[in-house]
Amino acid sequence: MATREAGKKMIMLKSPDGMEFEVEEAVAMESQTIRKMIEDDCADTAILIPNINSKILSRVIEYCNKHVPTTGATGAAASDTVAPAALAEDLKIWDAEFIKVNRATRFDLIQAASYLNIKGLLDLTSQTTIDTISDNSLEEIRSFLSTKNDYLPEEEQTIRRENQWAFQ
Amino acid sequence: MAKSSRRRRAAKSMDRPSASTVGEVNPDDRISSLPNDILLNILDRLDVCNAARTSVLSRRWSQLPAMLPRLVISAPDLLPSETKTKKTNGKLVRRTKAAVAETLANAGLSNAELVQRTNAAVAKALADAAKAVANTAAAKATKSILARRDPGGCTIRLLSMTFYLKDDAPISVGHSVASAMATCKIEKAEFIVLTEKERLECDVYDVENYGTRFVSFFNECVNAFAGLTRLHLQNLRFAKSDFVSNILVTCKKLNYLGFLNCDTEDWITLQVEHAQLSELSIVNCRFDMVKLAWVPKLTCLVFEFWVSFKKPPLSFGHVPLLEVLRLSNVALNWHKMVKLSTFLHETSVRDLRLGFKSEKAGICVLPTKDSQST
Repeated sequence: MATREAGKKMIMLKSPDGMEFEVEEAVAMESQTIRKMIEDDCADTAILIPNINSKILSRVIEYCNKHVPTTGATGAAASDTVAPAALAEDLKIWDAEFIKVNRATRFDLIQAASYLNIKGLLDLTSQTTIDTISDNSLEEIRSFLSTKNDYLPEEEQTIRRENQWAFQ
Repeated sequence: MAKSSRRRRAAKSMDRPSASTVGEVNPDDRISSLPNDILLNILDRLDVCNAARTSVLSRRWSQLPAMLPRLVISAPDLLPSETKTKKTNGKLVRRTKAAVAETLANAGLSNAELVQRTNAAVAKALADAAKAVANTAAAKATKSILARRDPGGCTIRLLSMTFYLKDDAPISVGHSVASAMATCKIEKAEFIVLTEKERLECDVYDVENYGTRFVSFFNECVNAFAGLTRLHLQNLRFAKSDFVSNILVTCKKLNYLGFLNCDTEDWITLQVEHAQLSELSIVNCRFDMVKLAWVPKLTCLVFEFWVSFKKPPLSFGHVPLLEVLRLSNVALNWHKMVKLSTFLHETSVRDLRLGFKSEKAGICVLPTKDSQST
C-alpha cells in the first residue's frame, strides 16, 4: 500500500478519461461501494471508477473530503475546538455552496452518488429534484426536468383518470 | 501473482452501472436517462400523491410508481383543504344550517348561542365530508397503484394503509391489499384503522357502531388480515366477546398489535396465544383480564390504564423473551395493591417503566435484574 504520511493509507482512484486521484482511504470509504471492496480485500492501490468522468469524480472526492469524520480513525482532530452544532452548520453552508451547479452536473452527481453509494451526497443532489416535483404543476416539473410528454392524447387522458385522486 | 488476480477481480466487480431501460431519449432529458433505481430512490422520498403525479410526465415515468419499494397511503394525508371542502359542499352547509335551525327553533337559545351551535354543526359536517373524500381517495390510490404492480416484480418492503372506518373504502382497500398479497412479495403490511371521532369524543354508541363496522370489514377481508404484520385498532366495542381471540387467530403473521380504547360488551378474560407477536400495546381498554398464555416472541408490552378490580389484570404465561414492560395506571381506591416482585417474578423483564398516579405508592420493587422505573 502506498503511504504518504504515517498511519494514513492512500488509495488511487482512476477515472475512465485517464485521470488519477490519490485520496486517503478513509475519504474513499465514504463511498459504501468502495468501502465494501476494501473490506472484502478486492481493492488494491488503484480502483477504476467507470462511467464517472474526472470532472465529476473530483467533485465527489471534494465532497467526501469535507464529509469524512474529522475525528476517530483518521486521527485528525480538527473539531476539537469547534462545537458539533457549529460544525454541522458549517457543513450545511458548505453543502449549499457545493450544490450550486448546473442541471447536467447535478444529474451526473446523482448518478455518481448512487453508483458509489454515498448517502449524504445522494440526499443532497436529489433534494432539488424532490423539491421541484413536490407541489409544482406538471408543466413546471416537465420544464425543470426537460421531460418530453410522449403520450398520445387519449393515453394521457387514461393515465390522468387513473391518478385523479393524486390531483385533488 | 495473487495480487494481480485480485486486481482483475476488483476491476470486474466495478462493472458499469446498469444501463437505463429507455430506448429513445431526449438528449436534454438527463433525468429520464437515469437508471430506474435512482429515479425510484427519488420517488421514494416523495409522498404518494406527488409520486403518483409523476406518472403523467411521460411513459417512462408512468412505470415507476408501480415499482416503489414502500407504499404509505394515509387518508389523513389526503384530506382536502378546508376552503375546497367548503366550496364543493355548499348544499351540505345549507342543509346543516337548516336542520340546526329547525331542531333548535324552540329551544329558547340566545342568538349568539344559536350561531355558535350552527357553526359547530357545519364544521362537523364539513370535516366528515372531507374525511369521506380522503377515504375514497385512499381506496382509489391503493387500488390504482397495487393493480399496476407487476406480479413477481420487486418486493414491497412496506405497505402501510391508514384509513377511516367509514363507507366502502376499508373493504376496497382490504380487497386490493389481499390481491397484492396473493401475487407480490410483501415484507411488512400494516393497517391503521381510524375512526371519524377521536377517542375522547366517542360515546358508548359510537364505539358500538364502530365495532360493528369493523367486524363486517374484518369478515369481508379475512385474506388481507391474514397477511398483516402490523395492526392498530382504536375506539371499538365488540358485541361478541370472542372476537378479539378471532383477530389473534386470523392475523397469524402479526408482529405488532395495538388496541386503543377497545373492549367487548361483556368483560372477558383475553387469552393471548400467538406465535409471531413481538409487540403488544393495550391502552385504555376494558378487559377483565389479559392472560399472556403463550406468546413466545413477545419482547415488548405496553399496558396502560385499566379499570378492572383485580390487581393489574394481566398475567404472564410463556413469554420468555419479554424484555420491555410499560405499566401505567391512575390507581383508584378500589384498585388492589401491586406487588411487582411477585407479579413479575417469572419474567425476564429488564426495562421496566412504571407510571402510577395515585396515593397508592405502595409499589414494592425488588428487582433481580437491571430495571428502571420512572
